[in-house]
Amino acid sequence: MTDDRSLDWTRNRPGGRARLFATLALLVCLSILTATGGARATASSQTDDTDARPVITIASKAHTESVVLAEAARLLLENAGFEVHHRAELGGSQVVFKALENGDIDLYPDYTGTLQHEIFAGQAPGIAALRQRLAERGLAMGPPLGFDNTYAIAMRAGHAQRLGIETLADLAQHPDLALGFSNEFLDRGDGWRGMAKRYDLPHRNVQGIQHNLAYRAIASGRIDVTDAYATDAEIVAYDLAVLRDNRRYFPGYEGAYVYDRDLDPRAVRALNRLAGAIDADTMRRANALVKLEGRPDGVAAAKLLGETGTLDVDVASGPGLAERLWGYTVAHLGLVAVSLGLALVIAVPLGIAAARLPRLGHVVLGTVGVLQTIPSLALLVVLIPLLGIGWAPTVAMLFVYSLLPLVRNTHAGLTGIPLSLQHAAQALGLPARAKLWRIELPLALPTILAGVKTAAVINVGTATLGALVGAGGYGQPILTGIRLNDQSLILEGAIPSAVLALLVVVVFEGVERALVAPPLRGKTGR
Amino acid sequence: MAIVANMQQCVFELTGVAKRYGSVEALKPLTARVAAGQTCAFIGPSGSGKSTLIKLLAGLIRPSAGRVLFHGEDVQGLDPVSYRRRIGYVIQDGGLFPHLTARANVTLVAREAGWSAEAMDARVAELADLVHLPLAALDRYPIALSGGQRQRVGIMRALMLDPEVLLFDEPFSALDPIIRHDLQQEVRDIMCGLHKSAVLITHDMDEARFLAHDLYLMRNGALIQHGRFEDLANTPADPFVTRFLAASRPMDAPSAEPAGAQVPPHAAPPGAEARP
Repeated sequence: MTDDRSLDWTRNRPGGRARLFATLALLVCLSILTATGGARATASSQTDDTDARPVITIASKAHTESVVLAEAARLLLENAGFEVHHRAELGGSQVVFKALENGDIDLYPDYTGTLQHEIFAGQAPGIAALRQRLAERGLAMGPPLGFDNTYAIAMRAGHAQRLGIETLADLAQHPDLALGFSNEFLDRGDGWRGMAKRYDLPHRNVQGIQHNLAYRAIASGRIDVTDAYATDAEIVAYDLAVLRDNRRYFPGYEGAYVYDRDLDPRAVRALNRLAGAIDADTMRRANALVKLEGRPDGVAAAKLLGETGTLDVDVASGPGLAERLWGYTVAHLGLVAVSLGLALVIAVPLGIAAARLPRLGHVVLGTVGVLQTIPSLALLVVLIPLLGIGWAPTVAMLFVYSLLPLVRNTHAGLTGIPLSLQHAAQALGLPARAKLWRIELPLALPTILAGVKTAAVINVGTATLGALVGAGGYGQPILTGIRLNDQSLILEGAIPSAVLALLVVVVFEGVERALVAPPLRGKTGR
Repeated sequence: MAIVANMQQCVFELTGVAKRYGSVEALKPLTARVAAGQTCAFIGPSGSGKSTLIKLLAGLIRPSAGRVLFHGEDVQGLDPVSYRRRIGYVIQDGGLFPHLTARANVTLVAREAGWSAEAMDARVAELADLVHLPLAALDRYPIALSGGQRQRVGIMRALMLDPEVLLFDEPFSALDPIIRHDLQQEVRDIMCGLHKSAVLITHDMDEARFLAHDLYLMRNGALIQHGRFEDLANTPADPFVTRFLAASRPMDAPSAEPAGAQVPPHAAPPGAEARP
């Protein structure tokens, strides 16, 4: 009967097909406009708002030191009269650097070594060359902050003292020491192999070990030497000694703020107060405060500013649990609701079109099926160059994942209407619109609502990934919890997320009871 | 003969109408007419093309060849919405929409056509009386109605806008025999009272003969014989006609039919007295 229905469709409505396509195209354009427009609006409201205080957006990478340094910058800039947003734990080096280049953020803390090796892939051999490369992209780097977070080779302090080891060269005198290195350090050309060559190290007892376990292994004496980062909090905590790189093998990883060249000069001046002020010990203590004592990043940053004599500021220990949860919930619900709303506006007409025109239906169902198979993280990364960071790419990702359940269930609901009822609807002389709204959609509604429910539950879970690109939501405490290895912080995001998913199910069951005719209830099908 | 002349006024006229789906010939070229005020039945086993035929009459599908004329106008040229409101379509088991109450099913199109609530209520009461449906049943969903009640509601829905012609698409085949018999009787009474033209699609010769004046016997998409029941019984065009008549109504001899071919079948249907 598909033949008849498609005939009927074109015959009933002169130019019906063209009108349908035009309507669909319009809807797609509108939704893209509103989505990107919304994103622009939120982005520009943070930079172009001339009436209020000037706004600066800071980002940090997903590790403690970066977050603490970003917090320190926030305190300095707020003190200088700016309104500051901190997109904490935005992502890896590439993501954050791209965000800076795109103008999504104004500044973030980074390391000279990372910029030279990871961002410019060896094309910026010295600091002067690095500044040149940054300038070519409209960016600038402030003066080094003072510490060098390079690779460090550490031993138990007492052990090193007993053996009289102070430098890496001294290691050569003790070939029987057990060495345990992170796999990354073992594999890299500029890691263990280069170091062994430079210092003529004869050691045979070298094993790979996960970085976090390495500290426990060295503390318990299972290994004697390991690699670390110079400002790791654990160096203080486990009472380790860092061996001096007396032949200057490791490249410098000096901390510095990287910012947009157009950043307000007053802001640059405020940041420059930290130039050379943070030595490795101070940085280590600030890291330890967060990582080992569980204090908020802002508190550690304030302490760091105080210790360096830069700024005396009192930071409250951050918002309470209820306030935090409320903030996460609002952000999370916003992501889910907007993406689901957009998807409904697009997917239901698409599902209707797919049911009407079998050939189009084939293409549409195939396409949304393929979209669903894209890994969510990959999709998020692909969307960043198009939509920037934060809210827009997250909503776009969730929108894409909502399409399949919505389109498929709309299609299934409509094509699942018994043929006899389709004929009855047609033969009664109902106009096409009334037939759709009075007969077909109400009959398909249980199946469509089941699709909406599925999409909403998927969205609640997937939206936690939004925190990776600075969209906030329940993913934020999970991300911080992973960074700090803090189970309770992870649960702070995971439990509300699960509860919200359950609530969504309950709410949609209520919606079903309110909208679906009694005889059709509970027949949600697929 | 005055009556015969009257019968020349056609509601439907089919000229060489054929329908094919790809390589399948669902209906071979057929020429037929449905006279005004009469009931015409297309009878045949499944695959005979009778269902295709009624869909062509309702304008649900487009003929591959030939034309279907409604009061002399090509159905394909008519506005489908207003055309379908001039025909009442009754299908198996009522074809009621499960998400609407019986009343909402009946008033669906009237509401869309902008009838007032009072006009709809009055018409529904009138029709419920006509089909002997208790008013209380109208507020139930189809699932809570009996098969016979569903079919009555289906007939009410078809009659709601007072169409010129009724199309019955195997209306009684889902009912059990006793209810079917009662309903057939009632439908015949209703049709008698309304003086409407009707087309009946059925596989049941007994039913066709009980309700219709004019019979078209079909097989494999082709017309085998056209005429009154006694024509088919007395001068079968094909051994199939004899076999179909025998299989359908083995106990009844054609000679039991009352004489008087001029009498309108609604007033004195052939075989009415012979029914159990």
